[in-house]
Amino acid sequence: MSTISGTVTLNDGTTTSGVIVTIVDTEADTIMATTTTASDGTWSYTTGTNTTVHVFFEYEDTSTGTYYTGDSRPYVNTTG
Amino acid sequence: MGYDGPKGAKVLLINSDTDSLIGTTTTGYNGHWTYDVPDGINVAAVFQHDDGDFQYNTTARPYLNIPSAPDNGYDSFESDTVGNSPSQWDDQNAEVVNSYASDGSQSCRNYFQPAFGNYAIRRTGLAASPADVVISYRETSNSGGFTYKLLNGSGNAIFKVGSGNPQVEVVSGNGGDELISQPSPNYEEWRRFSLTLDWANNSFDVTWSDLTGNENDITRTSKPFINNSSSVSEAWIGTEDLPNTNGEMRGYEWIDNVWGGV
Repeated sequence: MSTISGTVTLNDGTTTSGVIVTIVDTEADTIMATTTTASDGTWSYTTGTNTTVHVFFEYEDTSTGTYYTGDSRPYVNTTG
Repeated sequence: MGYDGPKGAKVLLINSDTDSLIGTTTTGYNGHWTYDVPDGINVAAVFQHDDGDFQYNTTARPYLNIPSAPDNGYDSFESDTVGNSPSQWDDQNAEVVNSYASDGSQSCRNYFQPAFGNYAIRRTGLAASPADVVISYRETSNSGGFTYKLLNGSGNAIFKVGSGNPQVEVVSGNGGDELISQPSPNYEEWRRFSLTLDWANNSFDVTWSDLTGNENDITRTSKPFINNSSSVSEAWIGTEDLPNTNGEMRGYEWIDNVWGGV
């Protein structure tokens, strides 16, 4: 198994919980999983080995009604 | 000086509400792409590009809110309670049923067998000028037929369409009564009138369709309104003694996906 992980920061450098992290299996063109960031912006997901996934992020600040455009990370390879 | 996006980049369209992949496409000339997605959902567009030398990071476009289709005034009776009267209409003996639906899982069955000139279901107090109206219907062996008409603010018909099990009739202005089809079988098939109303020229186009595909569509264009108007005040479905229908117009048919200004 391989674990992919990261930390999401907003444009001002702060971290936040509740950012939706979607992991797409780009070989099968399926949604592999979704998870959300912890309060320190971290997230992780354990997947199979030798897989190429695409990770992208969605975040709505419900206190201000702001929707963020999220960077994405395609071509994330998990190795055995 | 503009920037040309890459051709051949992969685009993934994701339904953010259900976390499911809607589909994929690739960019064409100048990096442009299009994809038809369902109405009323949130979509994230995600991009990948590998030009053979580099695999690029990209910026996703989440929260692409695809608005629901505008309220077009159709009633498919889906929000009603089975066994009750259709909630958006006045009715005399009709009920919502969950059998023989052409749109969704419910339709409205008319049990009314009145004298000519009586409505089975109607909706009054409208103030709409719809560009398109429609009615789907399915007759039974007990059906004599029905008339669907829209009335103007003076209570006068703008047009009438109807079926006499099976005679298909369109009534327009200047004495225009036309039998446009006598389909076979007579009943137990969903059929539909679709009309486009031209309020500027007081005319309408009408297409009659057999939804089973057993009959070819029949279209008539530029039929004059019976009475000129700029809006609809009432949608009316009931029994009238339309020409060419042997005077048999009476109830016992299913109605679905009908414009009633709802």
